Amino acid sequence: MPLFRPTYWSGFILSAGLALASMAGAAAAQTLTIAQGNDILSLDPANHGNNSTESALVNIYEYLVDKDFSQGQLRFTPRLARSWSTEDNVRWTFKLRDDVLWHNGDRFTAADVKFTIERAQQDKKLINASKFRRIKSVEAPDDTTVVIETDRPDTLLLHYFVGNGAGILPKAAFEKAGGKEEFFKKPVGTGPYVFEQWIKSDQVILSRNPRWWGGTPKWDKVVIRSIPETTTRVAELLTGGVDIAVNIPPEDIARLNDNKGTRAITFDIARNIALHVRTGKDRVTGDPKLREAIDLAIDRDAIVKQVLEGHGKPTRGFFPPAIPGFAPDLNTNIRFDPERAKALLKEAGFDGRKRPAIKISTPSGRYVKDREIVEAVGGYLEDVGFRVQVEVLDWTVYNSRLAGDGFGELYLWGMGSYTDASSIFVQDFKRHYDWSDPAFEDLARKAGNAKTEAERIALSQQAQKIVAEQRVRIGLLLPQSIYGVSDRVVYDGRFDEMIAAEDVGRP
Amino acid sequence: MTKRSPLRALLQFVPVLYIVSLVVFVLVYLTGDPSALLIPEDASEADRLALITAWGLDQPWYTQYLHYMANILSGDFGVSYRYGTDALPVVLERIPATLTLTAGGLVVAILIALPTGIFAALRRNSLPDFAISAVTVLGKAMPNFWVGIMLILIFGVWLRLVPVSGSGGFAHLILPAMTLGTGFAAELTKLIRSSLLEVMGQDYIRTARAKGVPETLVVLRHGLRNALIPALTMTSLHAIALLGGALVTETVFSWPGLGQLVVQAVYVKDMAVIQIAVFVITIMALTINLATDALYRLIDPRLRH
Repeated sequence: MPLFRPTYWSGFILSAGLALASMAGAAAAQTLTIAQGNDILSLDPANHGNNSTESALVNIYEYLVDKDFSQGQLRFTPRLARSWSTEDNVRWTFKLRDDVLWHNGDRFTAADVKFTIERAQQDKKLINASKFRRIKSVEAPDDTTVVIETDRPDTLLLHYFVGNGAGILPKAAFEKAGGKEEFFKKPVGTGPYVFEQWIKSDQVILSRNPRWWGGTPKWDKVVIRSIPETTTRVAELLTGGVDIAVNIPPEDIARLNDNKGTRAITFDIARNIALHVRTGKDRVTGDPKLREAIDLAIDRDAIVKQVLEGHGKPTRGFFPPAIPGFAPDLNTNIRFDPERAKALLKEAGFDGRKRPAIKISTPSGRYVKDREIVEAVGGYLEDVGFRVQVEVLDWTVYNSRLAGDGFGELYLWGMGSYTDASSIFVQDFKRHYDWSDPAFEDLARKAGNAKTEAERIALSQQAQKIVAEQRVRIGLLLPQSIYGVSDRVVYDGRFDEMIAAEDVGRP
Repeated sequence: MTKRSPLRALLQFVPVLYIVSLVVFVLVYLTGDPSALLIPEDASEADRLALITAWGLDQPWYTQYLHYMANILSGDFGVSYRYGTDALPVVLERIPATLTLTAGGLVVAILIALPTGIFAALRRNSLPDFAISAVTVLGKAMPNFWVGIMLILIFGVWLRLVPVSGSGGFAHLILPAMTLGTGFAAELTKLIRSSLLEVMGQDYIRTARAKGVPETLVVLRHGLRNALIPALTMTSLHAIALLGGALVTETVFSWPGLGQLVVQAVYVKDMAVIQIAVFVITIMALTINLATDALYRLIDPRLRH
């Protein structure tokens, strides 16, 4: 291992004089530069739990199937698999493309798919080690056929083949490299772009894959930069240093639209913001009446309009409409009734002189306007008679509190990156919220064994209603994502927030 | 200041490094395990526990620590939880960027402070001296974060003279080095001015003047040389602080130095990376101390023995 990377120093010296010159034509027409808010965590698709990392990796590796939200609801479209079929949701047959080459020239076959699944199952240190836990066996009877069996009927199988951990890896190249450490120094995928270099905390550089099965990729070079400071990200976009900048605060939209050559785009994403409620008997939120009062006291419409400047939708639920199994009524039947909330407080024995004390915790800057949303919620709760303490925590501390269940009555949580509403069953409600409900647990059991997609969807919709009615989670809003985009490129954003360079066009 | 052999100085650092590693280990351990920060949002409790077991995080802290120290003695510095790779190169590859930025910041500070400080001392209580005093107070009062963003807006966005952020070329270094350098330049200017004034009142300066040595030579050869000792001390202390990572400046300019790495590592309790970074920073601090000692002796012959 070299003590100092020579590339760093030589690049520094070589580019010293060139940097100023190259500034003028930053995007040398064929280079796409994307600014993310953080660096990628890993080049190993199975070893990260991070959206922006996956957003970079989708250009290098490919999934068996693609998730397509362009029609308003998730559907799976062919990618490395041309087609797939199952009769019982237990035994699945995938027919693969036969014209795919790895970046090193090897041919992609069914053995690679088998390898990818089994590697994730066997290496317990991988962050996505549990991704394929329901898969009992994988067979590759010939080069273009993969047969997968699950432990019991599983209508979510296709969901395992998209998202974090789903990128298919090359068996031969991986084994030849002699382990993951070596392989991921210069990883090989099948995607439209080839990995060139990763300068940590700075940028990932990719180049065009001339042998891509899907045709000639649009860009010669793709640079994915990590720019944590929002002001800097915006400045880079304004000066033409980057073509797309993610996570723009609502207050910068006008500035980007007024500037010549840039614009802001907003679009729906797979995320929801909710208050999670601790319902133990030792807390005031143990009383269902007070939980209902909280739900009714919040003017979600006003929060969306004022805090998010309209870039979101109010909801009582937990999933946007594009997610299979979302409960439609929860996005429409939203009541704001402070008078009823006050009455409920009275019924619960709080007459105005004695006020129920509530602590709401929030991170700051993790989700769009998280702290401001909680401050607004706190104001509404004060209005109907609660005594509110808002606690703003650093993200690390926030996560430790979550893991150790150290929060007060309410805390803000932004679930995201899901592809199905049955993810409502994943969390341990007893542990996190001190809440259990026989009907809900029954639904969870049944959902794990659902034989058809329709059955699974019906079960998770019922579960969401129970959670919303009992106010274990109080849905607040569905935020939109805001990107800054240069006029040099054509881009509208994607629901899953993946920025595939092939989706970005030139005017 | 006694003369120390560099080797002995290095050896004295072994127990220090050991204690530092133990303290860091216990502190990080006490804040909980990293699993919750590593796993995907939709992972279940069972997934989290499986990860904890796989990484050996379910062991008591002393077992983990002994295991860790045994590995270090055999040359294995551990694996970064966050990056899933060997932690040593993860830290070492940040050093060039950190050294570049530190050097850049110091050069800017010295280039500003040295002439300004001398000028202010020579024109003591004049209008320019008061003006310099006012500017240094302002320079010290402006937070790095704000200076950085102002520099970006003026030189990057408005004048378009230099790149806004990132690393790679000399042009990229200009704004972060100015951000780091200006604050320190303010401090250093004041120090050079006051120590030069103090030295200029000494007997040997009067002797030099009485011998008819030209004033410029008196200041540069006899005055400045002695006035530089405190400035050197302050610069070396500042360099050590910068080598530990200039987090704010690195974040504003997305500069890939140690500061960003260490803070991210602390966020996810990436033990191996934190430990190595602390080792590396400690060793760099020691090196600077030794180099400063050598410079003292070079500047001031009285310290040679």
